[in-house]
Amino acid sequence: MSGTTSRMDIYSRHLEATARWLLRSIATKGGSAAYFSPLRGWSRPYPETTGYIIPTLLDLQPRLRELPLEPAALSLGEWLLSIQQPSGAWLGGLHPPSRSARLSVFNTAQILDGMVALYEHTRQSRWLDAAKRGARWLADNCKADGTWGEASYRKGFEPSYYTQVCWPMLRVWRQTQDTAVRAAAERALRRVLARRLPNGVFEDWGFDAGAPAFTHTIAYTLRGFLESALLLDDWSTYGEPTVEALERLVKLSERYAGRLPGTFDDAWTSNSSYTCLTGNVQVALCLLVWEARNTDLRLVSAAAKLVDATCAAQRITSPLASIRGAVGGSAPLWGRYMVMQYPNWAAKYHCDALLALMRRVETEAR
Amino acid sequence: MKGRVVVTAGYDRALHALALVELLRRAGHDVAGILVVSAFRVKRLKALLRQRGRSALPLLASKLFGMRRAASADASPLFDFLRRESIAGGSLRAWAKAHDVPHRVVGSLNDPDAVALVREAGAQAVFYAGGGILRKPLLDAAAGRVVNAHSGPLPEIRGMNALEWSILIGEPPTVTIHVIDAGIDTGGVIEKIPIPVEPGDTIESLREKCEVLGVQGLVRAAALVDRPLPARPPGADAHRQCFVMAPVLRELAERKLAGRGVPR
Repeated sequence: MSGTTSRMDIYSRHLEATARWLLRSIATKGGSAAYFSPLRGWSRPYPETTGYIIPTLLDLQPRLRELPLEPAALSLGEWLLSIQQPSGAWLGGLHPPSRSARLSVFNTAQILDGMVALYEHTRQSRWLDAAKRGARWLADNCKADGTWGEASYRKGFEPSYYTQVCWPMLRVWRQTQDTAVRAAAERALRRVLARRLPNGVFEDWGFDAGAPAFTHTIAYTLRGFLESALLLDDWSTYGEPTVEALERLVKLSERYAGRLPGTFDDAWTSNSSYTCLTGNVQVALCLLVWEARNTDLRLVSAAAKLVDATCAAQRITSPLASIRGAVGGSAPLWGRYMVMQYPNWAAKYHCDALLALMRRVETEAR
Repeated sequence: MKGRVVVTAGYDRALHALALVELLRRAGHDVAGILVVSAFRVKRLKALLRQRGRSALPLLASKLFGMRRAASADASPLFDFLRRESIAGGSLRAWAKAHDVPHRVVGSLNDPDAVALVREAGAQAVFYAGGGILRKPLLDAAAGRVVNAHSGPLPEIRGMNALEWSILIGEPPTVTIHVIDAGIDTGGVIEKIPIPVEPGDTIESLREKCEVLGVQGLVRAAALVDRPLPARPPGADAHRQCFVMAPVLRELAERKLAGRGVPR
């Protein structure tokens, strides 16, 4: 292989370029801009994704020592503390919020992820205090049937990807041992479990009831279960039910050479001509999380193809800094998911997937 | 026993298929027909491009025009073998013409044309040397007697890139001569042939050794075509089915083969 660039070198370059783009997304306004649009420029900051970008920045710091990732994570955390509501929750949508902005279950949970990461990194209690208050708000508002009602993404619709709410709640529970938080998370997980179809699909795992789901929210749903299973040390209840869907996604990833169709309906069929890049790398992460429990390099291979396809859609040498290292919502960019936009969460999940894949390959090489 | 067989190939200039038909002939077997899958089929081209991206283009060129290169400039197990056996390159079409053997180019081995040739030839077995997944009509036409050389140990490593997967997970590299049935590499095992790994071997050189050992194994199997073929091993489909290996893992396999560490 002399004279050629190894795949690990390619991954390193993409990782650094994507991390640099994430740093560029952190505007002077405090948070990370939700997206860059070639038509409208940088968006306002997005508290939800700013929250879960924090653990990514902290994870990247030891590998990308020359970049100010840890300071950026701390400053994002400070910004999120400054906009936490008295109830402990955070508002939905971009910041500054619109007049109609409501407290948001999903957004609050993603910010908890950042708060816990900062606490684990610094051991400063103020991060955990903020997380406790947010988790308590989630627990107090979670009804007996595991739904949140008013604070849901859309009134009257409780999407199955709220498993991604349970995982951060359980992260807080692991630190605080607040049993009400754990109980609420388990209620919500059980509610989604009841929606599982024999083919592994969880009904309503998309943004709209009964509509095909983006791979982005499919992966949210599965990852929420996988991480909850690990945190609760209960694979049979919360992990095993995802296996059918994960096996399907492995075969589909192989069939489509890492470019999954952007959406799937409840029968695993799709008429999408585009791919949802963030969904692809999120699926790769799910496969790597599963593989960590169930060593099988075939899963690593499928994950690598998903990551490779996302790298192939990325421009890391563009003269335009706002595009250099960005990850499009869709490929092609005019696909239906985040049309003509480069969302910050696509970059976050691409970094997470690259890092997880590189670590796995390095472990295997030892 | 001298057998009467039909041979398949994935393209007309497949050197291993050419070696197979020639060595079968020299061993006194009757090659009753050759089926070659057309490389120009749109579905096939699309599948190849989807699977391999731009790297499919040189592969395609090598298949179409016989521009195949040896595994290394110093040594090539396949080219050395062809030289030793005095088999010159060329096409299956030319070989078939020279030996008055029916030669048919088909869109797929499952097309009615292909199935008809197998029936007309009255072959005792079909020897598979490439051409895609076989479906029921062809398997039925061959009365379930289709024999293949697989580049990994069966039933342990089924599917694609079996050699690479063997190296990566530490299974001894092996060629398996086996029966093709309705499953993916689940049929009865006729012979397992260890692949000798020597210093300096690469995945490419081992792939060439696979081809040589596979051809030799199929020629030996031709002497057995009048006997009952082995049945599917119990639980064969429970073993791992592999897909094309991702480039990063292929690099890792290459490094493991060379006794080196992390691919950087």
